[in-house]
Amino acid sequence: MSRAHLNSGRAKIGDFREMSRANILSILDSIHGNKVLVWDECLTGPVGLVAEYSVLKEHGVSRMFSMSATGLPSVRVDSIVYIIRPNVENCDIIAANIRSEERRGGSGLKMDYHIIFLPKKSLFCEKRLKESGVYGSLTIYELPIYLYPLDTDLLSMELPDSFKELTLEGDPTCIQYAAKALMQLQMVCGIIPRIYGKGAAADRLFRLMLRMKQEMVGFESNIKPQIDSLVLIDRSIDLLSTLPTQLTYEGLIDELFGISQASVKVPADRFGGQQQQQAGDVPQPTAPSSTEMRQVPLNSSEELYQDIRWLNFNAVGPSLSRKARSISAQFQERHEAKTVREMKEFVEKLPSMQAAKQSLGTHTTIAEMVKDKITAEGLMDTLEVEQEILSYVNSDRYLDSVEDLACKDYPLTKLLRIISMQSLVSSGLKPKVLDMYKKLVLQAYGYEHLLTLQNLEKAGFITPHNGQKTFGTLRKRLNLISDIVDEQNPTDIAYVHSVYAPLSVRLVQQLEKPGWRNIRDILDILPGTSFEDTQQIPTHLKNISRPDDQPKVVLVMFVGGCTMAEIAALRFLSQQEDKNVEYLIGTTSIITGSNLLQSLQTDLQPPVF
Amino acid sequence: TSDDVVFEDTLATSGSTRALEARVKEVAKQIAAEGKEQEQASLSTQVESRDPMKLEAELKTVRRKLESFHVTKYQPDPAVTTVQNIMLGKPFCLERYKSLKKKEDLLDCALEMGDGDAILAITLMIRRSLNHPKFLSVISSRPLAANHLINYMITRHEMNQVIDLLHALGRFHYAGVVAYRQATARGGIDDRIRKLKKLYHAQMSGHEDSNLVLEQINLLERVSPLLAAESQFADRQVSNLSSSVLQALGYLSTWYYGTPENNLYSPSALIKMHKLTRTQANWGMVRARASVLAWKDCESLLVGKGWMGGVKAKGEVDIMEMATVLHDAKCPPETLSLILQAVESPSDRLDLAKKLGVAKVVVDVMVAQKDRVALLGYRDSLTRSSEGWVYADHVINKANVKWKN
Repeated sequence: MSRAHLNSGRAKIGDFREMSRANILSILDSIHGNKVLVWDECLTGPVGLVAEYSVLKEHGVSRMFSMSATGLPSVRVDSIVYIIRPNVENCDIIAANIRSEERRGGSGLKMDYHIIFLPKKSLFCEKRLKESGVYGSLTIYELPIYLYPLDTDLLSMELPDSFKELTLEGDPTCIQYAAKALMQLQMVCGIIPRIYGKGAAADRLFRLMLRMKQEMVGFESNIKPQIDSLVLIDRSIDLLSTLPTQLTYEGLIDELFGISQASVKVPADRFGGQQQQQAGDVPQPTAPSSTEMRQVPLNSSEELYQDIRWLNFNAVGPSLSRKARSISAQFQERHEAKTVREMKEFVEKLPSMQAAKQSLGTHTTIAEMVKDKITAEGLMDTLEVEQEILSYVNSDRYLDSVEDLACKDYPLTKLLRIISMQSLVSSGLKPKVLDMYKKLVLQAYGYEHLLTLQNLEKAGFITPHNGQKTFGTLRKRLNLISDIVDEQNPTDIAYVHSVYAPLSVRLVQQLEKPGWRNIRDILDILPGTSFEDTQQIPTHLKNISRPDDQPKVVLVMFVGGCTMAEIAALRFLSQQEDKNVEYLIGTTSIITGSNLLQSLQTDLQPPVF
Repeated sequence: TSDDVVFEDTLATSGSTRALEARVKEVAKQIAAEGKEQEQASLSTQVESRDPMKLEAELKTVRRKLESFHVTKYQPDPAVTTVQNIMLGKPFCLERYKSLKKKEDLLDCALEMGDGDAILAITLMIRRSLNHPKFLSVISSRPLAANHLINYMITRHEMNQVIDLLHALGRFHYAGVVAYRQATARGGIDDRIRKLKKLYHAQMSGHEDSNLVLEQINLLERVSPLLAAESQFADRQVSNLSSSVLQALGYLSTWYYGTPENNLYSPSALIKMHKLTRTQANWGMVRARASVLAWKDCESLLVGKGWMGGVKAKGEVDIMEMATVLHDAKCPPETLSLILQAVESPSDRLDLAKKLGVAKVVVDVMVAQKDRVALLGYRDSLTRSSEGWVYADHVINKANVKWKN
């Protein structure tokens, strides 16, 4: 997406991206000569959002590779530049690479080695490099990029393991990164006057931000604040919202195919009619094999996608049909055009109409693929079980369903989602039920998963009963479960899961009206502290007030991850005309229930003779 | 200490400004070497002036400064400075924090700043430089620092030390988890059994999950001799035996169905030992028997004679689910018809039979409901002269049925 597009919202995300881009390019420029970039795989996507390969080429990058322990392909360049996250495994690979190059005698050309640590170097990495004896051959840089823009209203830190690190390992690094990210953002978008938050991690983040602010004393920002308030949400206060199957179009694509860095890879063979027209006499290539994938970008610069991404999936079909009719009607206009001027107008509109048509074709295909996958994976049955659990129907029928699923080799992660949902809704499982589930999971999937269950308990997903009725209270007071939801024309955020309104988004919604002071008692049931505070804005900026008809901009920052469904719900609220608020979303990463639980699973192999 | 400067006590007697100059110059050099450059500037200008009074005064200040340097040379920087240096990548030295209080203050400062590198580096320094009991008392009151250290040790595979540390910190539950992980991470099956047994009696005694570990030991013990014997069968998925109880049940039911319970190979012994529920046992066995086309076994597992000679589902079996499983395993229509008879509600049976394409059962239900119209419709939907069509046709033309419509 271009900078212009990213800047089209109220907060200048495009400028923020430019800042990060300038950082990378300045480092590359300071390394002279021809370069080869060697990437830590998890970084190619995120950094690609900030600086595309074409731009890197302009700054002297001739080729790019992924890091591998088996060594680099032989190249003749002036410098080899590694871009990595600061962990010890990466350093070991680099040390091995360098030593094997030196042993091989190199390619005759003296090559310089550089490491760019993203976002900052670590003491232990340097120590490791020193221990391996390669530290002297390296030049070290830091690339402080903490936040990546995924869309005009969406920023992600691309740290998929942050929840695991916070809850299982007690490692607060992602909170530090988040604090830096928010400070960086404020440098571009102005200081955010009001800060609210809920949850232990949110609290720590807030304190860290305050301390960083103190250290920056004397630095006066001259930018008018573009964001009015900041809400920090700790994932741990609302684990339940990650678990039910997401039913928005974008949410389903993420659940079924996996969206990374705002694009999705899908099998290419269904897109037959979409292939570029080949030159006239070249024979059509044979149909692509079923394993060939096509990358489809998913962002708001595509108008059609912007309209359907947040819809409940049942409303997508009718919406696409309407769009198809409107496009056909537009194409018909060429018959209406009589005068030359009308013709000219028509021709000018043609490119955008063709783009719309192609967009329609792509998404019709994707929607079909989603539908097929839903049927193939039996999602409708599990949806039924989920909705029963959420509706708090105190029946034991779903115990039997879970048992059947386990015996049928149902994927473990999905089964754990259902069990976790049950545990969270009833504030923990009664001892007998918990025992039964534990035995069931271990007997069906292997005893090694004992560790997984331990982890889930530690993270708070499947816990013993603690005697409270948290969910019941929350449900009533915040109206989390709706029986009647209009999926075609929703009026409430509950449509994202067809019966359940995500708790986290409800809390954000309540912040505007009636305000958190009025729901203090609800906030107190949830774990962790809640707080609100004000940051001082320099006086010369204070008096420029926002015109009343312009909506407020609220940045919601999730620590630990958020789902596409929650994002859709916030976007839905932004579109409501009577609400007068626009939401910006920041998160440590975008998660689905499955990949969240998977990060908590341990991979042990059963013994083989 | 080699860089101590020793002055001869000559000031009182010597009037030689030159000697004084030389000494002052030397001292200035040494002080510059200590890292303070300002003095050098003032001394070098002073030295030129050759005024003995000024030079003497200068020498006195310089001496005093040197003495104070000796005193503070080995004193540490304020804690905040050191932590900031770690965070900013500047050089730092942790060794100067000698006293317990200084170490604790440094660690607390790092904990407040929240930088992982600093916390870990300082914790490691404290571990190196204190005796074990003192070290424990420092970190047991600082759980975050302990977390960092534990994680660090786990990444470096210092498992035994980590387990001891966890015990010392009173984190028994987690110690059990780490020990379990270490026991099951690698090794052949007998190795694991040994380690798990040891674990069961040591770290996991009294642990809430200890009975699950016991079950795992039981499974592995039962399966271990079998693995050896079964590995000769190249076409069987022997690894299933050790992956989970249900998989093991499936394997045994496939190849050793009906073995008496006193034999290790017996599926029913496995069911008993692990107290599998009826549902789980049925699933495992039916699927296994279906995979080797042993339909009679499936039938006898699922249904029995009901009242008045009819067919009834055994126990709490979900017969509809099972019918689908059998259908997917391509069982013969006779078996499926029999199983479907056990579906109690006629409408359920009708729907399921239609879905699974068992014409005979559909027809029978429709006849029982005396629904001619539906039956005609169904017959016409079938392929002409197929078995189902013939059967339906035959029934329609039978005279002695009192049709409703």
